[in-house]
Amino acid sequence: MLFDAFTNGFMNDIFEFGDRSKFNRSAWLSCWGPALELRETEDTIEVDVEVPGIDKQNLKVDLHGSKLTISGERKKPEEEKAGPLIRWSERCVGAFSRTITLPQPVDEKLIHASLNNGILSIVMKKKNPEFTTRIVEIQ
Amino acid sequence: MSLQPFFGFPPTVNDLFSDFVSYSPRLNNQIPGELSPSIDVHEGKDTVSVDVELPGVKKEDVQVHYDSGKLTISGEVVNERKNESTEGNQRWSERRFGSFSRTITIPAKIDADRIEANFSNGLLTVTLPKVEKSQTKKQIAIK
Repeated sequence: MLFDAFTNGFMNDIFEFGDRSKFNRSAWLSCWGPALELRETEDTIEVDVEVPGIDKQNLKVDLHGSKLTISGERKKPEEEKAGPLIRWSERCVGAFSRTITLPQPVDEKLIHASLNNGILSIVMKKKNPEFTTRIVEIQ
Repeated sequence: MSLQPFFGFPPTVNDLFSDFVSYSPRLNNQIPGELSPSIDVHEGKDTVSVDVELPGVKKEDVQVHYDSGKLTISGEVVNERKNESTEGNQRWSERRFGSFSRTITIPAKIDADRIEANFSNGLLTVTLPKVEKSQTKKQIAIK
């Protein structure tokens, strides 16, 4: 199942400021893209993405300005391994892409991504705001 | 000619419905909001394999049981960031945490002593070998 890029982007925009954890994860939502979590600390913005069973080489992380895109693909299981008869199938197969707008600018040189136990974790350092302090003399 | 019952279901439809119900406990008595990991069931010539998506779960937090033709996978997805929530501001979360349990009826006679479970990349794979059929065919004498 390939996701339409436009629909994907459109849905991302709709859900950008929503909390989907209130909804039961329906089959449609599951196949739309992996679940993710965004956290913010004083210095960092962190994103966790659920990508069980996907290898590192089938995942990609792109940062363009304030837009973070996570894309990848879950290959169909090989028939030799899984067996020819699919008795039941709930998992989603195919390519996915999710784009989120970060709440603050981040330093594109200080981004770190790691994959553990099927969770892709992305840690980004916030850009230090440049404040020019100017002393105004009172006359 | 015997008359077919008007409201009787054809056997195939009954079998299909029965299979559907037994494979999808998710649709039966599901508690709203309960965690329900996704499952694939494949059957080959010699084995039945079950894949369960458990992202972020540790091996020690999962239990696999097999009893009388039913495979049960249960455990808990632990929120490791919960302690950080005082410092970190959670902006958006679609992830689910908590305990889970799923039971699958296995569509074949299984050799329970040879079941194997592997956990890798957040994916639990349970391989259930079928009982090997006896190669000794008994010749029946016709009297």
